[in-house]
Amino acid sequence: MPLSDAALVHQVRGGNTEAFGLLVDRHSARLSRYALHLLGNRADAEEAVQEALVRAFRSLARYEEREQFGAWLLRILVNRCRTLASRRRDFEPLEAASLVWHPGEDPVEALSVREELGHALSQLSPEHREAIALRFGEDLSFAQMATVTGAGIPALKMRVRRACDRLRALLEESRARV
Amino acid sequence: MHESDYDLPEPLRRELRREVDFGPSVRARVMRAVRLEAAAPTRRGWLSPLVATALAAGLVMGVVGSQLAPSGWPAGAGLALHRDSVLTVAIRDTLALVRFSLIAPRAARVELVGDFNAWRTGATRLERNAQSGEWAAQIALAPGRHRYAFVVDDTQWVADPTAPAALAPNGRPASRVVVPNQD
Repeated sequence: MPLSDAALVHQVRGGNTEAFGLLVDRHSARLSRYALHLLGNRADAEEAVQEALVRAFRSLARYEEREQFGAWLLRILVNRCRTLASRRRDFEPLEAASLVWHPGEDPVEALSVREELGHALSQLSPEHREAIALRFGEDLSFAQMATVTGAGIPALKMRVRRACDRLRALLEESRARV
Repeated sequence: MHESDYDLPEPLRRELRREVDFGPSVRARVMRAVRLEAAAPTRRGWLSPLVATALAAGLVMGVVGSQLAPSGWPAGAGLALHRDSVLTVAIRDTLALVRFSLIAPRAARVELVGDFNAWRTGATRLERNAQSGEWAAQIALAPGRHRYAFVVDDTQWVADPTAPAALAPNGRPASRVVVPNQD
C-alpha cells in the first residue's frame, strides 16, 4: 500500500529529502493544471509550480496535519500565481503532448475548445480566473475555496457567478466573430 | 440565484478538469533545489529533536505488542518495532534479525551505518525494491540498544524519522532500535 502524504511528510522532516519526490509526483499534475489556467502559458505555469513546491519544502515544518497536504500545497500555489499573474504574458496554447487524453476522445475538437477557453480565460480578471479554476478545474466546494483563497463564501459565490457570466459572454463574442 | 448561474457547459468543464503533464523537467528542478536546501547547514535540523522523538515514539508505541511482534515475544516488553522502517523478524540463538528500510525511489545507493558496523559506509548496503522504491536489509543484532542511520548516495545522512531519535558519534542525528533479551 502506498505511503500516505502524512507518512511521506514525516520522512522528509526526518531528513529523507528523496521522499519529497514522491509528494511531487503525487501532486504536480493538479498543481500544473491550476497554474496553467491561471497564467495561460507553460513557461509561467512551470515556474509557479516549481516555486510553490520549493516553498512548500522550506515550510514543511509549519505544515499541520489537520489540513490535507494537497490543499496546503494548492494554497501556496494560489499565492504564487497571484504574484506571477501581475507580469503574466499572453495566453499561449499548450501542445497536445502535455495534456492527458482519454480513450475515445477527439483531440482536434478538444484542442479547439481548449484554445477558445484559454483565450477567454486570459481576458478575465485574475480574481475571476482563480474562481473558475478552483471551482471547475479543481472541483472545490465553496467552503474549500474559502480555505484556499481566504475569501468568504458569499463573496466567492458572487465571484463564481460573475466569472461564469463573463466567460460565457466572451465565448459567445468569440463564436460570433468566426 | 439559480444553480445554473454557477455552472458552465460540459465541454468547458471537461477542459478545465483535464490533467496536465509537464514531464520530468519540473520534478528534476524541484528535487535539485530541495537537495541543495537540505544540504545547506542552515537548513539542517529544522524539525526540533523533541518533535522528532515525539512523532517516532507515537508510532513505535502503536505497534508494540501488536501483530508485528514475533510469536512468543512478550507484549509491551519495550521492543522498538516499527511497521515501515525497523522490524524484528526472527530470533536465532541470542541474536535477532532486524529489518531496516527506507523509502528512497530516486536513490542510486543506500547504506546502513550504526553501532553494529562501527558506523562504516560500505559495510551494509540496502537492497532496492524497484516497484515500491523501498530499500531494505536484515541485520542480526545482539540484545541491547543500537543506534543507526542511513547514508543515501554516499552524500546524504538520513536518520530514520519513524524511530526514536539518537545521536551518532559524529554528532549527526541518528535513530535507535532496542533488541530485548529473550528471557
